[in-house]
Amino acid sequence: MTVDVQYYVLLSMAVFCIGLFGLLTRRNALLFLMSVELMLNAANINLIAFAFYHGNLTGQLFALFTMALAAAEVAVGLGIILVLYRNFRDVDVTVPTTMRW
Amino acid sequence: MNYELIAFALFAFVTLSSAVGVVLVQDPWHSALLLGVALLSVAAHYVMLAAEFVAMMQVLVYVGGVLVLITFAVMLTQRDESDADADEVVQA
Repeated sequence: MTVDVQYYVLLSMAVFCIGLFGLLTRRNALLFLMSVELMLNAANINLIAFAFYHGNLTGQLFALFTMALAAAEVAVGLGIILVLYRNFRDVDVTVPTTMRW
Repeated sequence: MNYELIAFALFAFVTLSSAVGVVLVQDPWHSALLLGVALLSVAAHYVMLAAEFVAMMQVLVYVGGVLVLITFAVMLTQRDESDADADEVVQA
């Protein structure tokens, strides 16, 4: 007897909503990165749960693609945050109001 | 007793509480540590869903790579309070 797939979908929905809440309420750019990681993990839970439910490996393959994408996204986001900190001496995303410095 | 359901409930509680902690804690370093806890418990969910390889990749890529990069960002963008104190000393 295994856990039904709808419990995993509910867990994924809750984690996605928590990540979206963090993305919409926090002003620290580092918390943006972490909230996006939470949302990508919620999508991965759905992919793995449906791969288990359907009995094939397509969902697991797409989950691996998502993980590689998340690693690259964090590397690019780290560069952007460091440039933001160099120019504004802060990581608050409401401080820069223009793209010209 | 359905032991898998109990294990799912425990790990879901760990995942959700640490995820709530990530978005609510004020210190970015503490929220990075809580993000590590959330990623590890998601890896436990993957093991329960018979995806051992993806769980291993989750631990290696996320906890070993992404969390280290986030740690770099946290440490490089910290405002060091010693500078402000030094300025105050110079001004005084």
